[in-house]
Amino acid sequence: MRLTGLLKFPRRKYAELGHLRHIPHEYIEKLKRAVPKKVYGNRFGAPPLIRWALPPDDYVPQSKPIYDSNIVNETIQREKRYHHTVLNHKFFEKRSHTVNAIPRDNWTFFPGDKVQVMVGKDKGRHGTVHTVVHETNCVYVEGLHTKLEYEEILKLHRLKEQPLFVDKNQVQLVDPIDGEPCTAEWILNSDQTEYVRISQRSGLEIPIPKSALRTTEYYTPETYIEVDDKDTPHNIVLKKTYKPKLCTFEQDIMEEQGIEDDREHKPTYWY
Amino acid sequence: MVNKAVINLISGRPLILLFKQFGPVQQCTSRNFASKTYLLNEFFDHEHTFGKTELTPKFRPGRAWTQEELRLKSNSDLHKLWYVLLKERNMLLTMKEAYQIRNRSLPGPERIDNVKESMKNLEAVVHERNDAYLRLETGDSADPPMRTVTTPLGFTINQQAKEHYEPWEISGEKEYATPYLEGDVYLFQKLWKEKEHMKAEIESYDKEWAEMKTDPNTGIEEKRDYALFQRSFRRTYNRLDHLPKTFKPNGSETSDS
Repeated sequence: MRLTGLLKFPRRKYAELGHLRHIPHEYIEKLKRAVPKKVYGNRFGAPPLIRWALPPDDYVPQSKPIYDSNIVNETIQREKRYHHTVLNHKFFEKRSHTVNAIPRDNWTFFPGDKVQVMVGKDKGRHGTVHTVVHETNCVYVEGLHTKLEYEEILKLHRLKEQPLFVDKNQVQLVDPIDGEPCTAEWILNSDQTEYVRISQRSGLEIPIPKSALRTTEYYTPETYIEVDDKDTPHNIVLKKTYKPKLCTFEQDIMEEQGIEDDREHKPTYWY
Repeated sequence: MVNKAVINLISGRPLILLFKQFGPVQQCTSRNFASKTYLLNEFFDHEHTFGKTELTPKFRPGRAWTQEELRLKSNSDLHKLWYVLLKERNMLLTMKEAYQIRNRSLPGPERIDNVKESMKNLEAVVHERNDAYLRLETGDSADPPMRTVTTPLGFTINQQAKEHYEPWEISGEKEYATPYLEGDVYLFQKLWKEKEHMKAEIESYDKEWAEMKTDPNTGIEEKRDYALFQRSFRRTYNRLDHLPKTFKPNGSETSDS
């Protein structure tokens, strides 16, 4: 290990946690539908004309998880409307976005956390977080802060959970020692190896719940089922086979395959 | 046996793509060819997944390879992995086409993006290694040589330089690099810049308009009194000086206070 590596702070692993952690970034962007539909390039140096499925400056994050079926349907409807107005040369008023997401390094709420609701009819009650939406700084608590809504298709009255906003202090973490609401912060532990969440009131550690490690693939890393044909076992992945050599990648492969190239290369000109 | 230290290192259980220790290409013939279409079967997914809308955990591969994981591997392993990923990509695209023809959607569509990401990371790692060696030996980077070029419409853009057998004096194929613009091209560039300037202005006005609110205390409608929108813009501008000045949303008309 180089000295410079030791002097650096450890990686903030908690900032990478999330339900969609292992889903590729490109796929999530496609779900938002703010993707180019067609790119008209080759315009003699002029910037290319991009026809959007939905313009990216119209994208406003909703207080719901991105894979929510209602959100997906709404986005598709808006996309159709945008496309229709563009074709008819009409004016399309884009939504404006004013919410600033709390940076992930400062985010202290995880699924499975015990929290206290500070507003509404459930004020003062304790509950467990089940969904976290980082883009709009909101959190959903199981069974609390609900609203009675009528679903026309099923003809049912349903108690639907409403989002609780972290930046507006509508929900606070519960201190493990006395059960009072508190604010948390991240500090380095005594070994300086990882970041730990402590409550500012008591200074005690609030451990990250196991549900926070959950992803679309597994509940906990230990319960992941490896796919025989497609997954590489973790011991093989972490096996180091690289030996630095003074040659290019191509030269190394040629040596290994026994390909010999003794042709004389004439000089070429790049312009 | 699960190694927890390993899991902590990589924060989760990963990975995709089988990574059999292949021998050289010649050894492929040692495989058991059961039928003539054996090799073609590699273009298709497991039969259990046919017609499904969602994949069960047993047939749902994990995440993409990260650059950190790929840096551990030798060049030979990366070379083999590339072809494993390529075959998987071909298989997924074939399946996507098959589902589209039948008016259905591919189950587990994020697999295609996973494979793309793995291949992108692989290429980045290989480029890194080549770059390090070439910088050491020649001083030049492994990036393709770039040059600025002025197109027939007068735009100056950065382009990749092309390889030629003869120097430019002989072949005469060198593209212009910022020449003196003449006539129509000069006018076109002026008009283009004017148009882009106006677009930016209008965007800033729209943004300010959207942020303006009515004052609830005094009842004065800020929007109604906004002088800028009481008149329309001029349609043509003969001098750049006559273009409206860049709008500053916090009202910097008076420099006081």
